[in-house]
Amino acid sequence: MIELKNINVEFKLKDNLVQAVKKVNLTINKGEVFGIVGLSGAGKSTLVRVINLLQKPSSGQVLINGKDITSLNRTELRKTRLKIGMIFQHFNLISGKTIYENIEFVLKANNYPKEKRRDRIHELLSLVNLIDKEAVHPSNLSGGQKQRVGIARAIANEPEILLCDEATSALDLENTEEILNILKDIKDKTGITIVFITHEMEVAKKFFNRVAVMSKGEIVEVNDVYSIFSDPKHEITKSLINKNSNLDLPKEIISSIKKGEIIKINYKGDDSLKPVISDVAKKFNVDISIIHGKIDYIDGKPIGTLITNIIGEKEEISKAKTYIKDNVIKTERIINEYMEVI
Amino acid sequence: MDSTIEILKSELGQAVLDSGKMIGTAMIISLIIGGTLGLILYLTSNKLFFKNKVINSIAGFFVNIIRSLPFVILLVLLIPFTNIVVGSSIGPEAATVPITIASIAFFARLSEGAFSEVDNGVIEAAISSGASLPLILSDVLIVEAFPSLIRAVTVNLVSLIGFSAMAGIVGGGGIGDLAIRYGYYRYETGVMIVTVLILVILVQSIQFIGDALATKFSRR
Repeated sequence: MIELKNINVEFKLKDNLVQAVKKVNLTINKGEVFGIVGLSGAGKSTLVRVINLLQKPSSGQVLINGKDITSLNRTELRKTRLKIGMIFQHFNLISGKTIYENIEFVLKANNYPKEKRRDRIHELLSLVNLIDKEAVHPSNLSGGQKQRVGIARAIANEPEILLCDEATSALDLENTEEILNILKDIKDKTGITIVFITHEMEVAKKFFNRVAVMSKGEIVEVNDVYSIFSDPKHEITKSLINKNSNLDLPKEIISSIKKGEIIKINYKGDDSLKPVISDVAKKFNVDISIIHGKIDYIDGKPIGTLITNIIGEKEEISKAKTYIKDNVIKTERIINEYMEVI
Repeated sequence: MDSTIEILKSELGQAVLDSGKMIGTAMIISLIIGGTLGLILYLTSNKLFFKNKVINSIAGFFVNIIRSLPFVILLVLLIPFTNIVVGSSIGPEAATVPITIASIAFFARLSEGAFSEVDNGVIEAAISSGASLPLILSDVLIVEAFPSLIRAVTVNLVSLIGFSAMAGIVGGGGIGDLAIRYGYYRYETGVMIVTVLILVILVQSIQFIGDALATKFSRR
């Protein structure tokens, strides 16, 4: 378990005192995938570096399994870091060493018995699917492959915690997917606690259990990932999610619809199983066509948005709208570009 | 022409030997002390290690003093010190002292530069893995700085050849001294040409070998 208590981090930039992290209190449970999201400059990277004291906090405590590591001496801190792996956005492999030697380095750091190193390295390389690359230097690998080496290196000493600092942000979609799958696999096998920093909400959706949202050095919202996406509270959270789930209807479509009303329907959880649309069509004298839509599954639970065109008599449309409103979480009327209600 | 060959026959061997001694001794000592000084300058300037403005400024100040003096002046200025160290202020041994001091300061700056080129991210990764400082220095810092260090050694060696040419001022001997004494003062153009050729070939080969090694070890 990781507990951050009243963490403040201040930097001196020329004559200005910059507060990168302000009064952060956070508890991360054993075995969970905890995400920290926020725009760049929000202080996420600084905060994750506080967990292994790569960044010393100006004040506050960092408790790992109940023990405050800010008061440890050099040697004790080193021992603690052996149990906290870390992977980086730019991989940070030793360019002058082969993949084999890169992993061997962290085993050396742990005084891992020499005769057992080869087996352990091979075990790690096969876990990340790079067994044929052991004699290669990092410059000959692709970004995804480099990050897989980064993962193998980070978990070589069987840490209890894995810190991921924008670990997929330099990768394309396909490689991101692969890295996340490897991390999930490792988590399932070892029960490791993962703290993952990212600005990519797509990663949050696929991978996190709980999320903290950071803005200007402060944590503004903490919740499980489904609640963050389905019921964001803070403005920053809302804007991060909207950027991710923008359902833009082309202007041409809006202006070509001459009849009825365009209604955006948001629904989630149990609501999504109700046949609201067909109910409406049966109960009221209206026709409904779906013109845009998206359903996300987060943590196995759906969050959906549909944009519909409801056509019929004004009164019937209004009744239909009331019925929909009562049965889903949110409806919203979209107006065409001439700002006239159709 | 005859006299040229005569002079070369009787003087060149000793000159090469003297140059070799001066350059060799200065090289070894400057790599060890200069390299250590460079490492100290780097470690005290990087916040991932032991950022310490006081130590860094003091070390930097001494290096800068030596670096700011033209070598000829340093040579003369150090005569009393040389006397204490080798018991004499003339001869190749005496010349070696200022050459060494100058190249220590030079190599300290060169190696500091080579170390600071190392990506801080790689150092951070090593620190976060729980590695000890000696392991980080030997397995990360020096490995990552190695190509640049080879280039630094090359530049240091070439500048040492330049320094050693001025050793004649304190009777240090060597190839450069030969060129000045015979080629310049006695108008023996032949000697001048031969020594210049030797120096050009020497510097070219050192640079060539240094570049080749640096490329070989560069894996970026």
